[in-house]
Amino acid sequence: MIRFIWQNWWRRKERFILLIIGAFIVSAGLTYLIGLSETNKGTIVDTLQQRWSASYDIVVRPEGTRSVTEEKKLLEPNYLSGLSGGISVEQYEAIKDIPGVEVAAPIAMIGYADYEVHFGYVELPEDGIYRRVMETTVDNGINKITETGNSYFVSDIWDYMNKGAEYGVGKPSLDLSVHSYSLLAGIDPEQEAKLVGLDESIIPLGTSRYFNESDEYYYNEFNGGHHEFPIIVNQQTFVDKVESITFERLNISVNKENVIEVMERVKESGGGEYLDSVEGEIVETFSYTGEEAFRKFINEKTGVDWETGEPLPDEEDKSEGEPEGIVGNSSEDNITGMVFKPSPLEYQEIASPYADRWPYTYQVIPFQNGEDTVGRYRNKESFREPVLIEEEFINFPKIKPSWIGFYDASKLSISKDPTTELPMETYRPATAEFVIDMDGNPVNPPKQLKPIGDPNNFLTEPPGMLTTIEVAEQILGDKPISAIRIKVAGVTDLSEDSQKILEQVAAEIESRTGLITDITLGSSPQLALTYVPGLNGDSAIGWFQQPWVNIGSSISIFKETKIGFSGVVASVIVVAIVYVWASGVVNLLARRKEFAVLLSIGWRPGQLSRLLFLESSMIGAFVALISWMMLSFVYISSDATISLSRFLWTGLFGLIVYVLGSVIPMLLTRNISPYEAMRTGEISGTSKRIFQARGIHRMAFNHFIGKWKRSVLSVISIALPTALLAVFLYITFRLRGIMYTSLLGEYVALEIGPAHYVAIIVSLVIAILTTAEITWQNVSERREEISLLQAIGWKGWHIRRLILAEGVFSGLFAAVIGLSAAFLMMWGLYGAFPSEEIAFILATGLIPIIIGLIGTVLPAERAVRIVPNQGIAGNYSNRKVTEKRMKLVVISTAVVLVGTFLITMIKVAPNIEMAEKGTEVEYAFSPTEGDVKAKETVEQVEPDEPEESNPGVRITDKVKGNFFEVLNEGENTTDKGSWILSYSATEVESNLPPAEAGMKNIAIEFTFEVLDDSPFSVYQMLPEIQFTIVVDEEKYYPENVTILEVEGWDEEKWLNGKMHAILDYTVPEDVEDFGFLLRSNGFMDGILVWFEREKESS
Amino acid sequence: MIRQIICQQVEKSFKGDGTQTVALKNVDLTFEKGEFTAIIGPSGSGKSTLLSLLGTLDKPTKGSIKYDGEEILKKSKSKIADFRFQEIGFIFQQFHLLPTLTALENVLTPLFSRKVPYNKLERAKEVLEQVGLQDKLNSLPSQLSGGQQQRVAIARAIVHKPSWLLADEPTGNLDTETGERIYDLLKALNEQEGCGVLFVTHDPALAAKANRIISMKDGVVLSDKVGVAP
Repeated sequence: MIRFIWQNWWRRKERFILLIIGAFIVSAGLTYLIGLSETNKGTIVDTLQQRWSASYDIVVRPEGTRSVTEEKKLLEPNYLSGLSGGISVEQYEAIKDIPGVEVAAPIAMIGYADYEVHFGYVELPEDGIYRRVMETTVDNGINKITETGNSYFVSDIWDYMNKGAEYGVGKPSLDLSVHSYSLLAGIDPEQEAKLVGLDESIIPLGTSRYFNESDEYYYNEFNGGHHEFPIIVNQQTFVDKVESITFERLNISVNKENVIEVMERVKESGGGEYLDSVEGEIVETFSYTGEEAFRKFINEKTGVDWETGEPLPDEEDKSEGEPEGIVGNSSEDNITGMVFKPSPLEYQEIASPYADRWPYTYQVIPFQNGEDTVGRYRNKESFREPVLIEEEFINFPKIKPSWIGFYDASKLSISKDPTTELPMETYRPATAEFVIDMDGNPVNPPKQLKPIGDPNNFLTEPPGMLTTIEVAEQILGDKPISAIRIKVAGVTDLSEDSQKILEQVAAEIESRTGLITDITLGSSPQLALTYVPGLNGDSAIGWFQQPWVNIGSSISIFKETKIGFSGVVASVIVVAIVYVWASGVVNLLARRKEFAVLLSIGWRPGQLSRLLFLESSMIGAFVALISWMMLSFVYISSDATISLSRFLWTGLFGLIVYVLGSVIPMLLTRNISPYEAMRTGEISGTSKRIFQARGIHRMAFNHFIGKWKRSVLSVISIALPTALLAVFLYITFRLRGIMYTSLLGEYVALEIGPAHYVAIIVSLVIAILTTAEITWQNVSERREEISLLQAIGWKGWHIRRLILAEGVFSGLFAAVIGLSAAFLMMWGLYGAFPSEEIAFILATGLIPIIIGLIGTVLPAERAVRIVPNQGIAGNYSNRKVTEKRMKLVVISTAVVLVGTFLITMIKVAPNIEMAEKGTEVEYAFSPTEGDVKAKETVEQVEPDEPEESNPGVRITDKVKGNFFEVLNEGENTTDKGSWILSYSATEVESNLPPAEAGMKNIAIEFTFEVLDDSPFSVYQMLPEIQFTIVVDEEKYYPENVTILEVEGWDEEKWLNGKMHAILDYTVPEDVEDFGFLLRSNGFMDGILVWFEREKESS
Repeated sequence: MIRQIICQQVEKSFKGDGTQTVALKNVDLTFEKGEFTAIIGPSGSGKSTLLSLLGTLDKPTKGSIKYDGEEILKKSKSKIADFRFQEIGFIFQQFHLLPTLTALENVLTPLFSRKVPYNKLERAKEVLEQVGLQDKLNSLPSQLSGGQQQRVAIARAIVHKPSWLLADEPTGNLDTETGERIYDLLKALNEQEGCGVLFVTHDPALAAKANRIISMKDGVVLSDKVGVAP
């Protein structure tokens, strides 16, 4: 039987090739869509779950904490650190009792406490008046901010007691100690351990440990009362700070004898102000980084060496009464005060300067402090409103935190990838990248802003000390908790089921407590731009890119991509099944008579069915084998992983499709009567007619309708992918709208795009095959008819048209059906017809017509080759040469097909993962709107007001366009207030040989220098093309470039130093006034130097 | 082994698009095993229809056909197919060889997935030798002449040792000389194997050689007489 089948295939070569091609395409398509794309889909889900998942599912916040940014479903990244209380412990307990709540981890931002680290004492053996210079340098990632403070003291020879400030000196301070602020937060140790594994991140050094039952809060009535409680301390420091303490001995001769005299003189000379003017000699300098301070602090606290873990020998310092690491304002009793409460930033939405890159843009509204705040902020602006814990200094809670352990935040089970992390974590500072400077120039590469340790700055640090909620309640009172992070039982992955559970729990929480809930599981980071203005009249800092939280965005993307992708995969499978059916039916039709003969010579109908089943199974097995081979090859060569079940399914699917595909032909064999073997002569048994056949097209149409059953198959197989293509295009447009507005969306769009397109292409190719198969059969059946038509004088082209017209009809019907289905689907999915993209979607209707045409080209050619007298006799070519050729054709087709597929797969598979970002951006959402409040400031540093230097004549009137800067001849940018760049140009005598008639030479000498404190260190500098002379609309490029002096010009392209050069131009003789324009990165609008010549001549 | 086929009041009509064509009317005939019968008549006289009914390829609209008293056509398709396999060999005007199979394979087709007491391959070779094609075993139909193809078809018809051979214009597509040889072959088979041969033809000269001649017109049997040949 198998031999019989094989002979049957092998000797019908053309059809066999079609069959093989079909099998290859089906297997390749299935391999890609089931075997590989499923992996991609998996990757998306994995990414959503692992890289972009918050460590909690729901965040609960107090009422009234919604920020303006949430109108756009956006949350600023370190939102949680800016909340201060609002949730009571009762509410927290209520939430804990809600069924489904697995972990409810409260966090109470208590406030900022300061701690001091002591490095010992300086020894100053010589008597004298000393200047103690405290210099704190904080690197905020963009520049270093240095604060200096001087204080004076006299060595131990003068009694400073009972002396007033007029002497300018104070108590000798020989200590080497540095201060830091740290945010104290309360947590529930048990819940926090469950949520992020805080207990696991305790550093096993010395006695360091996690909270346990024995830890207790205690209110000590002594000394006005203070809170005593256990804390664990964050091992990581986030502030890049260097503190240096310098002791200078002033050049004033002083000793025990003359000290009183000298000091009186100092007092008379002006005290401190006088001392400031006195030169000194540096005696000792100590500098400590924040890290060193912290290590020191740790060493003292644990009693073991930080790096080796060895116990430290008793230090001499200790015997000198070295106080413990955390010391308060009064180091003796280790009590410190809490001053500031956390407070949120106030944002206002503004229009984005680059809406396609950052659709959401906000500006920080600084807080204007009045008289009644702490001295540090009095009458000044600050980013956050400084909120004091108590109004009166005397009431500030005094705390005595007692250290029990260190934790390492980097060991917590939270996302660690800083580029893709979901923000709103309690354990690390928010990220902010400095991307555009105050002048609107891009910063390349972007710089990372770091917190500077100021509680009221733009960026704040994460909590440095953790204690318990109980403590928070004792210190803050009634409603200590700022937020509760919730994990819900049964939510394991990002799916609609999870979303449903979460919505239920969230609604339950809201109804029981009246608090605000947000589901973070389906949220994605969203790059937003924040404009940070300058404080207290300083120039603005610039624009920062921050990963904000786009609430609920990933679940919607997930849903849509899932619909989109499963739909497309399903359609390919359906198209594949239709194809298999069509080819099965065609196969049956072609062999109908043969089967009738077999029946008449005594075959049972069941035998025919078995034959067909066997045939299908064989192709199915072949497809499965090819799929498996391709899959293993791809997996081996691109070292991807695959689950065994998916591997098996990919192949089995092909087998199943083919086996199912044999069902219809098997049923149809039942209708074959052996009597058909006797029938001869009729060209067509039945035919339906709609039009009278008067021309080729009507004849083709009648045939198309007459064989309506098989026409339907080909129409369906074309219409289905068409409909899906149209829907897919629409979804893509829609999705892009949502997608490109978030990081995750961008990722998904890139990941999913190619798979969709491949799926559509596969279906369309299969549709071509289906059409080809069916038309092929039609042509075979109409051999007699066609040869007759030829016999009565039809030309080849007429026959071709007759067949092609049928293909076009299939395509036309498919287009109509496909597009109608597409519009119905769109309407069903989105409840709206696409209006904007309608032209585009209608254009996809051309595709089926082309497909129909392509599908019929081969059969049409075959029809044309039918020789009139060959009509009835069978013509199966069996010559040896043909056999050989045939083998060659089959093998090479297979090799080419498989090869192409594999190469594409191997190339595409890794590319999908690292596909480049930044393709086109479409958006169908509402970007932020509004104006930068501090715009005046921005304009001030962009002085493009030429009137100042050239009253009466507006240069910009003479040369059209906007320029970054406009100068007059000889004028320097620094004159205009630029502190980043020094640039000027003047005309000199040209050294070019005299120009031809009607032209003249102009030589311009310029200097361009990057100033030291410029944040822009590198400019692109290509003198030949970047400097032009502009006269009206005409531009002239330099004829000759003479570089006189150059420093730091990398690759003759990137300038980070200075350039001094002469450029020679040739311009028409009548040119009088002209502009000299420089365009480079940093000022794409260009700097124009205006050369006014008219005035001189007149 | 069917010895006798009896047709009683057999009628066959075909339904077309709104029309009804009566192909056979009130046919009462009896065929005995070993007879060499020719059915003759012009186109559309119903002779091929009669042959297909006798060969169980189709069912009569009315009346019954009894094979040794049994109404095979009332049975299931598979049973009918088994009957055809055991009792009937068919020869067509267009030969109807499977174009993709060699002569030998074509002859073997009826035996596919059938249990037979003899060696299939030996039997196929034997019958091909019988029709004089022992040297064309591995030729494809397209490599054979019309007469050779018809002989392969005859070999295929007799490979399963049927008791009846039904031939639908077996010489219709052949030239006279080849036609004669095919006729002789059928005659020889009738004599040697003793199987009943029914053949349809519109060549009166050929028909005249049969020992029973049934002539038909418009679906009705006109005459049923014994031929000149012995």
